[in-house]
Amino acid sequence: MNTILTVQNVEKYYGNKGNITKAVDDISFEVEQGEYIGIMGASGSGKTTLLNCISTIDTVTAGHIYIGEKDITALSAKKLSKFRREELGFIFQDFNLLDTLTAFENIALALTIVKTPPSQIEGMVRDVANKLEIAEVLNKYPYQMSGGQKQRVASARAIVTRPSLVLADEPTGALDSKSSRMLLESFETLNNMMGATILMVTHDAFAASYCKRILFIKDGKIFNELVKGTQSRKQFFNKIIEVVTLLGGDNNNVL
Amino acid sequence: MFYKLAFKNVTKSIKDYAVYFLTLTFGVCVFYVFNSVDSQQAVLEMSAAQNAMLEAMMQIMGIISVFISFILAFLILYANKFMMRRRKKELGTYMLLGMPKGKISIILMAETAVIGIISLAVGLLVGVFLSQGLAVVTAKLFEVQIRNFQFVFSPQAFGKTILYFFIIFVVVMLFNSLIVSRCKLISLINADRQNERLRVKKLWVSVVIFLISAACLGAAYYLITKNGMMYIDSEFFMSLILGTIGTFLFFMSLSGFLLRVLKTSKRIYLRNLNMFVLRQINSKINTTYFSMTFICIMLLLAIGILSVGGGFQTYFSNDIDGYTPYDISMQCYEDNYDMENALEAQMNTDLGELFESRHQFLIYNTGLSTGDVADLYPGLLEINEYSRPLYAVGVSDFNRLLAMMGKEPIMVLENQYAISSVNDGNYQSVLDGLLNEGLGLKIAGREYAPSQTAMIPLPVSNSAMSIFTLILPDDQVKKLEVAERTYNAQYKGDKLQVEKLVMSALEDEGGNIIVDEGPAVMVTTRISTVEMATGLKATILFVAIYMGIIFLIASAAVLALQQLSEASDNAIRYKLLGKLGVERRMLNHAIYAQVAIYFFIPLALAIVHSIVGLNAITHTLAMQGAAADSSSMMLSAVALAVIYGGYFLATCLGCKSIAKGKNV
Repeated sequence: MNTILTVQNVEKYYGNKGNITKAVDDISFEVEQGEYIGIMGASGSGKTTLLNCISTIDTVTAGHIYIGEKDITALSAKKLSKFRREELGFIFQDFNLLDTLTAFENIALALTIVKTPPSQIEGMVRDVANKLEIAEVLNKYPYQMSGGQKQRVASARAIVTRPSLVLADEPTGALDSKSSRMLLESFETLNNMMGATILMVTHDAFAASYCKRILFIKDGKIFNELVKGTQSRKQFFNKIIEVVTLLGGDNNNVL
Repeated sequence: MFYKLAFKNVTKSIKDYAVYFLTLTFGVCVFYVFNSVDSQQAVLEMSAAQNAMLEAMMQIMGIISVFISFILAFLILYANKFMMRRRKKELGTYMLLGMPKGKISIILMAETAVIGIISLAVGLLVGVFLSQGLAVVTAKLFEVQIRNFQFVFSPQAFGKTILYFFIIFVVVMLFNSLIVSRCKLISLINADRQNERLRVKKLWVSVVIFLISAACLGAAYYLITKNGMMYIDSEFFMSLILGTIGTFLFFMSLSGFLLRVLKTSKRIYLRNLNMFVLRQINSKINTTYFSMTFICIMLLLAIGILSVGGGFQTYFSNDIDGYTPYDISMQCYEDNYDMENALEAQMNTDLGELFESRHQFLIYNTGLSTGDVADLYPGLLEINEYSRPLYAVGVSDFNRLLAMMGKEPIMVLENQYAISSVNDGNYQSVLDGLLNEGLGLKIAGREYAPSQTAMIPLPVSNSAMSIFTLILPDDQVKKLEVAERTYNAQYKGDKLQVEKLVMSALEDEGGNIIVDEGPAVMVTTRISTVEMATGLKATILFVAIYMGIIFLIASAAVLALQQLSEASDNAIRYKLLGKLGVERRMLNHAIYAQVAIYFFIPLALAIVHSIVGLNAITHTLAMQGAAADSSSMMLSAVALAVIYGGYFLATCLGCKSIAKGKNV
């Protein structure tokens, strides 16, 4: 298997002399193609900062991040946005759909940005919409959809360009439990059927239990790692709860 | 403490305020400049007649300034409303911290005062300097010399500007207090979580509305072209109403229509950010078509006023010589009053010293009217709206006048007539047509036929009673009833000098100049006519520029403010596009495209409107001898480019920096 993402001794400091906050403190890990990896941690543990660094929205203080062969910490601003739109897909907690566009147009936008030939766009959008079961809402505006539908539209937007890596930042954060479950199942579909590599940041143990591997972060460092392997989701979930308890703090989201 | 906060707020958000501040400064500056024209009397070499013209012009300017100040007041209130909207969150924070509403009002008042004082100061400063340059323009328009170049400053205009803008700012302050006292904390805090419900209109509805608007505009264009802006009648009003409705519907349906059309072409629609831009416009146009219509009509007014006002430039300068060929011409209804003797006695000099040539003669009444002639030759109606008595002169008297002008004499045999009229192409073609037809006229029981096929482009005096005068054989004209006595003369040597001498000898009473002790005599000199005309011309041009510029500023400023406030609402969307990997360049293109569409679609429609309107009015003006010529078109084009283009660029830059700067 190819390594899609290599994070190498990444550090991210905030603040100035005498008052430094180490948001990410020497983290290293790798993600293989077709993996579905979760990053868990309490609020303030540095998981979102890490995600922002990987997604090139933020820059690292030290260390390297490779996506495929490329060292994204050494790219210029212009190349970064090119890289971002061609290699990465984003799913945000608050959906971040454009409220002026219909679902179809929101998904198509990701394709027009990478200058996909217009004739192919419609087919690609319909294709991914069918897989995520949102074909019937394609002509609706975001305010006409439910939260779960919105998030699946956002997922479709992230996946439609066939990125090397899909980054999901607390995707279930704004959803009720039923919608969460549907969304997570969609992620599984994307992962299994389309071979998408997904990196999901969450503090919800239930959401994390859908992943194949989980990294736990505490105070900017990797604290633990769990691999699902052949366990059932129930077993995996229990293991996650154990680690979370060990981590302390944020238990509120444990179901 | 509060004043410090207010002052800091202003300096901190100086970028946000840029357009607002610019508009205020511009308004103050224009207001001062156009109200200070009278102070330039000090540096200009002006005659009494010209001074009188300038006074009259200042009165007109005064009335217009009141009207203008209303426009500016609305503009400033509108701008202020936008500024307040952007600051809702900030106001909410003050309230959340427990600041009483009264205190917030005081902060806002202090801010308005700071901005008002700065913009007044800057505007007045720029205005005072610009008015120096205006002296040169005034001198050129009035065709006078600049006596000695000195610094002109008009205390009246200065005070007036301060007073008017003071009132406007007080209104703004009251308005702000009203907003603060009526707002609710919850809506202030949640202000940036805008939840604008998109009213989704069925696209085919927009297509239908668009077609209706096209039909309305077509009908309006047809009506106004047919009417030619000649008569203010039902046709004219129908055209105005249809035009306004058409414009309104056009903006209401435009974005939907474009969306519908472009959606059918996937090539264009699904390319780069086109889809985003179109939807962006579509989502806002629902709430902005009112202001778009308003802006379009304002632009139309600005273009129209500037072009037509400029057109009058050619009107007077071309035709004065044709209408007033004599240096001086006097008329009197007393048929045996010798005007030459009276003038000589009055001036106490030999008129031969002053006048190169002169002739006094009688004008007779034919008993016909121009209306009677028009009955025989309907083509005459084109130049003759009102029927006037038709007068005649003897051929030998007329030949003396021709000789004064250095022209060949004419022959009029028995039972023949010739026609004398002003030197004007329109008159010439109509009257030549009449003569060519060999129109016979019956005067005092005798039949007359034309002696020649061309009219003579020399009127019998500087202020002929009717549009043309007949020239009849001497013995036959003497049998008619005498209408008036006319005296024409050409000055000798330095004409300005002679004019001064003659005018100072004649008493001026309300425009009609009367010689002492005798019947009323009407005097028309060429120089005074020219001065009146240039004065009128200057007045029209000044008023046109004044109003045109204010209209332009108003419409451009409204657009700019709308776009800027929209851009800050849109900052979240831009940010999101950035996260999705849209390049800066592509994003900037999208922003420019959006601003450009908002700026140039109303402009484009206004230009189409004004082309149709100007076409219609050109014909009417041409009949009056004026033309919206290319130089006046240039004037409006330059004004448009500078003001509108300036606002456009400022808006583009502002939107770009908002999109770049906001970290959401």
